[in-house]
Amino acid sequence: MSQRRIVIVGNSAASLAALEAVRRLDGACPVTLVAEEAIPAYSRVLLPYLLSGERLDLSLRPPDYAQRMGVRMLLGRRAVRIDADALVLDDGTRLPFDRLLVATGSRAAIPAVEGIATPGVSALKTMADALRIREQLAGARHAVVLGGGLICLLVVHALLKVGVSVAIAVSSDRLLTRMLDEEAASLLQRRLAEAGVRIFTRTDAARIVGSNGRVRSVVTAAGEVLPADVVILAKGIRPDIDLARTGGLATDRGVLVDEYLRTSRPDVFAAGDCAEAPDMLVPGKKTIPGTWFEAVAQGETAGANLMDRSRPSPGAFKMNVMEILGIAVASMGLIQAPESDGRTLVRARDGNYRKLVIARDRIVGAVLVGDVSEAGPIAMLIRRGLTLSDLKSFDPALPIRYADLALPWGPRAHPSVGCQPRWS
Amino acid sequence: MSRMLVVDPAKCTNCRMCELACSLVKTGAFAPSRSRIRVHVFAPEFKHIPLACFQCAAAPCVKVCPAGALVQEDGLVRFVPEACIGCRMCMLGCPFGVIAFDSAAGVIAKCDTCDGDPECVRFCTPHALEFRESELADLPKGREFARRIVEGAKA
Repeated sequence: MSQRRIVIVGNSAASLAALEAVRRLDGACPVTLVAEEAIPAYSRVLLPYLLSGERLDLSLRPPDYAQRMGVRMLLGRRAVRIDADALVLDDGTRLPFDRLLVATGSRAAIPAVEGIATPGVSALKTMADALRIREQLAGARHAVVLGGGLICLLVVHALLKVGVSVAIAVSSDRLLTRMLDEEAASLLQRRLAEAGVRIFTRTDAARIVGSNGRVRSVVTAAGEVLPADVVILAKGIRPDIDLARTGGLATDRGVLVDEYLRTSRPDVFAAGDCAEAPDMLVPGKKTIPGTWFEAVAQGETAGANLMDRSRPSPGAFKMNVMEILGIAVASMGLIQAPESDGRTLVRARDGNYRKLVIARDRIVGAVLVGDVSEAGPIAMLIRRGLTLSDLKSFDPALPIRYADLALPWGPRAHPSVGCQPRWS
Repeated sequence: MSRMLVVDPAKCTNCRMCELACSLVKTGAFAPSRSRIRVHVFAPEFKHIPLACFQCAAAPCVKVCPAGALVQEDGLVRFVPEACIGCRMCMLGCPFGVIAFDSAAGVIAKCDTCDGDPECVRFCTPHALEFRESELADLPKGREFARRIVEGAKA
């Protein structure tokens, strides 16, 4: 049989992880990578740092990467259709494939608010966005951020560095609702308030007002007028499933995939922000974690499966971490206890906060604020489906360490003896 | 065969000289909290296990770092502090929990084996720490780690 032709759409975390997994298994098969943005792969996580000028080079890989990996890169081209045997690009190019990976990522969610198209209002999703906002920030005094998620906080971090005054308007009752519980969020909000950030909860932008082709203010639903030279939209992401739809793949919010990250079409896979994959903790549910971690993990699994390795994914798992104003915040899995047979173990002291979420005896989630040094071992424990009784000695007052998990002289033979991280 | 930090938990007396030596050479101060090697204590068993970065061959921290601050190089996981943005993604990615955060510097801290001459080893008087060639260096680290603890438990 001739060599397997691989085509990958996308050029970020999932695509690169997949490409590298393919190359570990086969150094020679022809691989083509297509991406809409006409620039080499860059780190979207670093966009806020470009905004603040802390980092100017966001490259994820060395300049000779394409050559080193032996991959044909078609950048600045949009994939528009998936035919029976080929991917079709906007300029009519047909790329015949044996296996295709759709890793088209996501777009920023744009709320339907009056004045949303006013110059100076934008999301921060691409390098072009970051460069444009950076220009607009020159001479700006006031910035308003709409939305209260992770992106919001990363943006606020950057805006504080630039030295503008910052107001946040968020429709929920606190920041980071999908990541933090109330106590953890209040620790963070207190710190933000101390730094001069004004936080407006349970409200939304009712209107964005501009004059002379420039945004001037945001009027909230409560009638508050927030002066704004720049407005940044941080209302979450929407999976980019245009290609999957025109290609006839089954979609819901994202491209539906099975545990092998295979779409409804056997020779097409999907990974990263665009993929809706079986959840690791909730049987039968499909999830879009939308995180860098998950994109890397899914990309790697999908890459192996592009080469027919039939490697199951451990399941979509939401885990994230960030730092703002010297406070680190990490969350993973379920952040609220399931109503039946769920409970939480909270430890709060010296400005540090840790909550473990437990369902039956299994740890299914955690929230950490301040000291996040035990986050890695806890994530490992959740991923391996271990229970509290698997731990050699569990003391809710003490940190959980990997050694606790691996101790073999526990109550029963321990499953993680001889285990290795899912990545290896 | 590559060289690696080999730990013999049976010999560890929990004196913590390794933490002092490491923090002094890395931060210029006796600050065990900023040490790259940490002694984990299991009180009921009287076991002590010094742990530092395993320099994994397929390191999850390298894969998740969004800033290019961790790179695989000559059998080591090398940390590039200038590139680190302090996001801590590597800490979440590392199942062993051996990446620390140095708040004073605003970046992570992990063992770099002191360029092949670890200070902690020089000060480990019970010789629980050695830096030498080991066939284990090329094995998956999780397995080796588990074995190391099993050995420690038997002793």
